[in-house]
Amino acid sequence: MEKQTLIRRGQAVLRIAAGGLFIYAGVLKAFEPMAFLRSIENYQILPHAAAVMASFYLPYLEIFCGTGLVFKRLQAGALALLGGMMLAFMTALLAAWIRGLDSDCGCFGAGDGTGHYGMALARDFAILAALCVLAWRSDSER
Amino acid sequence: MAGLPPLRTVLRQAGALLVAAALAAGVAALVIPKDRPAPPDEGEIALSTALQRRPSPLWIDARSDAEYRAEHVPGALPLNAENWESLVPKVLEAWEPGRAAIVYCNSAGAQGSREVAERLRDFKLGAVFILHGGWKAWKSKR
Repeated sequence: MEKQTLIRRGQAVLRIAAGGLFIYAGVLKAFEPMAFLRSIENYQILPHAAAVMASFYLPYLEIFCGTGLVFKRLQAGALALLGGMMLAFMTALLAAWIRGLDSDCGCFGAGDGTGHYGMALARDFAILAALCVLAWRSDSER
Repeated sequence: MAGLPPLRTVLRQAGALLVAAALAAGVAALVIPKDRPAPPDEGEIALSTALQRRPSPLWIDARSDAEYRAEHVPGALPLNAENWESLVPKVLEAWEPGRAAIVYCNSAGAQGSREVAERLRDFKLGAVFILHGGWKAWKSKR
């Protein structure tokens, strides 16, 4: 099999896996916005009104961007938004870690079992790296 | 094709996704009542129920030492995984057999309160619950 074909297939797997992950995370949170709101408020960053808006908005943004990745539609925009969200999530995690807050990550709904900030940050960094690879290799006109 | 897509394409696609997510979130916000509380998980107790328990429960603060020193539930004892060995003797001294213990931290689903509750259950001195909503629930109701 040609090297280019292998690379293309690898990218497709990465794209669908990343898209599926964001759809999964978004659906979990969209079904329980109040639990997600609790997770956001535990970070003690946003005022209540902004946290309420984020708890309703972010899950759908994840779902739409994830769907864009899976079906290769609006892919460049989806990658940019997801990359921005990952940076924001990592900043929030780091801030909570530095301030010694004992809060849920909330990344996959309330009580998602990510026991340590370091683990959550490493996971988010890996996802961000995957998004960067996809952005670099993406077909921008789709 | 390797390389980053043009900025105009990224912005146009990101804008479309942001609008689509806003519409979906708007519909969800209308359909899902915002005052619906997140359902308690197994092993959790609502604050109103906790306050009605007789004999009065033993309150355990599983947040960081700094957060405990700043403010805590009156009569609560500090106990967290980091300083378990030094803090647990005082808890065992105060915990009469049969009396319920209620553990709280910043959120009910946080790893800190779950771990402390699990370790306290091993003593088999009485029921151990996690406060639904954690410290925020206490602060908002008092």
